[in-house]
Amino acid sequence: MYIQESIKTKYPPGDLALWIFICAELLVFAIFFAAYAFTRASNIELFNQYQTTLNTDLALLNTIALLTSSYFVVSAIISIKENKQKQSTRFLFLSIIGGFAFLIMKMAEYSHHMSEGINLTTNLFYMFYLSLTFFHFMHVILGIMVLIILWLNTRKGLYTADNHGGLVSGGAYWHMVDLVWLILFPLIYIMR
Amino acid sequence: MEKSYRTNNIVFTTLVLLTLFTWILGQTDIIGDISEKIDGKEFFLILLSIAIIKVHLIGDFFMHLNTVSGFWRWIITLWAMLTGGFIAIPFLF
Amino acid sequence: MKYESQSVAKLYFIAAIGLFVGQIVFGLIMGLQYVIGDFMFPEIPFNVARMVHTNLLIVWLLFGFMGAAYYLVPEEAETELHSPMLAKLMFWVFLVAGALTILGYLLVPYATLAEMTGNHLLPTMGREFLEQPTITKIGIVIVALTFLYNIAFTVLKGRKTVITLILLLGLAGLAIFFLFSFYNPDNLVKDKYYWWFVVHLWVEGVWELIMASILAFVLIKTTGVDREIIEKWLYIIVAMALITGLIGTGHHFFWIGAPEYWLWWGSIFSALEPIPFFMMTVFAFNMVNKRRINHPNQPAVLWALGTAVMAFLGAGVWGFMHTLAPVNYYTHGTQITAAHGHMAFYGAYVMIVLAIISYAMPMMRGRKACNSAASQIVEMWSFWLMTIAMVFITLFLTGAGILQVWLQRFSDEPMSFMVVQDKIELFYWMREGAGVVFLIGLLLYVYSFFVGGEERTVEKKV
Ligand code: HEM
Ligand code: HEM
Ligand SMILES: [Fe+2]
Repeated sequence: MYIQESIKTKYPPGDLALWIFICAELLVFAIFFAAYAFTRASNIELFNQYQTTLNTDLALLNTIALLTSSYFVVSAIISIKENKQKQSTRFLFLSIIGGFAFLIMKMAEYSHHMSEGINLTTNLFYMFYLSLTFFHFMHVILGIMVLIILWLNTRKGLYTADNHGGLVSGGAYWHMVDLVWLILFPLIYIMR
Repeated sequence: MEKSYRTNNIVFTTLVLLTLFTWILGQTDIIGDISEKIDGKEFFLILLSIAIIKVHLIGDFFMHLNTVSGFWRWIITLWAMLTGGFIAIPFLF
Repeated sequence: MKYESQSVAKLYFIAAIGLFVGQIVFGLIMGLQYVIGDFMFPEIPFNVARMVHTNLLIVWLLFGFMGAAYYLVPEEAETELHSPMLAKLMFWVFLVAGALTILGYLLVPYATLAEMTGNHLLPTMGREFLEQPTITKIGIVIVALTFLYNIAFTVLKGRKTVITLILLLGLAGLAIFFLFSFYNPDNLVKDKYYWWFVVHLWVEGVWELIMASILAFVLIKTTGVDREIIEKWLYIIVAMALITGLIGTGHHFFWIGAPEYWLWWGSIFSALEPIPFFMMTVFAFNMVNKRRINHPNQPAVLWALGTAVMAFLGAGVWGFMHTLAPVNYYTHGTQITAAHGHMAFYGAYVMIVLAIISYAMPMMRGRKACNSAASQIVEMWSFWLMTIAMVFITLFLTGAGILQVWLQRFSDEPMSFMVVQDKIELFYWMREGAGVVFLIGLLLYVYSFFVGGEERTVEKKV
């Protein structure tokens, strides 16, 4: 086991094609983040003022929801490596719950904004806030769909200790959704 | 395998603690507007460094990049640093 | 050719090439009108020639896509076409409708054509690329639906591959987005929205799926590379094309009266549209490098690689050049747009259709795999002549465009449109010269089908 683990591979675990896709997605987010930062620089007053209207507490809970969900995906992979399909299925289920928790809290935030009549045209700050978080929101939805497929596959016993590439690839996508939020959270909610 | 679970737990706990720290820095009503107490640039740099560390942890452990050598090992970390770098330009200058 | 019914594609391909020649002739007429204003006036006014040029382009590309589908779907599904009869019937319906429409453009004034065809009942005419009379549009929908039915049933009864799935998705999208051409709101902003929902979502959305699947088919056949590898690439290309292309529509909403956030959404997402095109380039070269066989049909491989490169240049590079709002502010609707439009259409869609024609035609005409060496040499000449001519057309138009932007919009004392047009006349002459070379290349392409000789044999590679 130890010998096996110490041998490093050249390519990341999972499907390389998926990793290329992840890179493309990360590029999109990077450009969005940079656009936010540069636009902010010429509208500092406006951005600082409206940033305080955001709900940082919900954002904290959301971050923890995503982290926990990611944690369970990793646990599911460790379980599958021990051929514990049942346990792995359970972990995946929990990670899906985490994803939904994120969606629900985010929707609560959106409905609050909507009740105040805030939309993309309100001002530049909200334009960025809504665009960035909604684009990420769509990724969470896609990620949850991936997780559901992984969960069903695991339940059917499609993955084993020697053959769980699909699980690793799908998991990597979910972690990508997570790590993007880890930048988004401080950038939009806290940095000033 | 015990070791894998333990590593996972440690990484997860670190991530949550760092997140809490980030959140605390944003609690302007409790601790006041930090950006007025310390230099705004330092405030920004602390937040950015934490974010990059967190992303690095996700890449290295959750995405198993620590089992990879060469270019791909650093793909996520590199992304975080480049993105962070771009964000930093308007914040710092 | 493995299945008898694949041969219906031949009709479609022949019609496609015939109309292609017509398109280029009208391009040359317009090119001359740019420098000799009353050339052929009043017989063929510029606006009519333009309509014929662009509509022929769209129609022959559609013929090409349909032919490609009729050829590759039976082979992929490993079954005969659902109904070859229907495919032949629809060919004639489409050809006659197309011919009548073009004749209508040429023979009567556009306003009269609109009146004759009852445009007032359901006004859809008058928008660029979608000038067809309403009845022609209805005809197109009927042909498209029948075609989809035929293809879908063939796929359903046979083997389902990723290639046919994506092709079908692209073709269905093509038909669905065309429906927006029936909605013609009075509000000018909305009018533009719906127009772009057809034009942009076609070329930067669903047509990319069609292109990717045809390209994958030709590459599988000519390189012998494993299907699994190609399929994975297809998925990512398609996902990227849709993510960037759908929201990227926003790059047309900058100045039409749409909300301001489109400046951001449009710029950011369309700036990423080159990615799927770039992936197609990498994909094509990767496959050819990993090839297991040296296919004797060299021109087909050349067209496939050519389309991957030229699509990236025309759509990716020339598209990116003017897609960011601060740049587009100056370049909007100038010759830069025309430069991009030409190279993108040629690189992505003209070349992919020529690639599948080049691959399939020899077999449909009774050869085992390919044409004679002599014929292949002629065809490769035609490839280089057309492609280099298009590069020069693009460069001359880009030159014209940069000067135009400078003199008309950027300098301290901007000049009026017509004054500027006079100043950049030289570029238009050079464009016309390159256009003549393009036509020669195209005629050589046609000629290559008539060069006889012994067929080249298949050489396997170890
Ligand atoms: C094969 C794919 C493509 C084709 C066939 C194509 C074709 C065209 C055509 C014909 C036009 C002119 C439309 C009109 O009449 O106003 C146009 C406009 C435009 N295209 Fe593309 N295009 C493609 C891909 C792209 C890509 C990938 C980008 C961006 C990266 C792009 C950016 C633009 C922009 C910004 C305009 C508007 C120009 C203006 O403001 O006048 N295109 N395209
Ligand atoms: C396969 C080759 C060609 C393709 C795919 C093609 C495609 C197009 C497209 C998409 C447009 C509309 C552009 C826009 O709205 O900006 C257009 C317009 C035009 N094309 Fe072509 N074309 C081809 C060849 C030629 C050639 C060889 C010539 C002449 C030398 C030519 C001359 C023109 C002219 C003069 C216009 C009108 C531009 C304007 O409205 O100002 N084209 N063509
Ligand atoms: Fe577009």
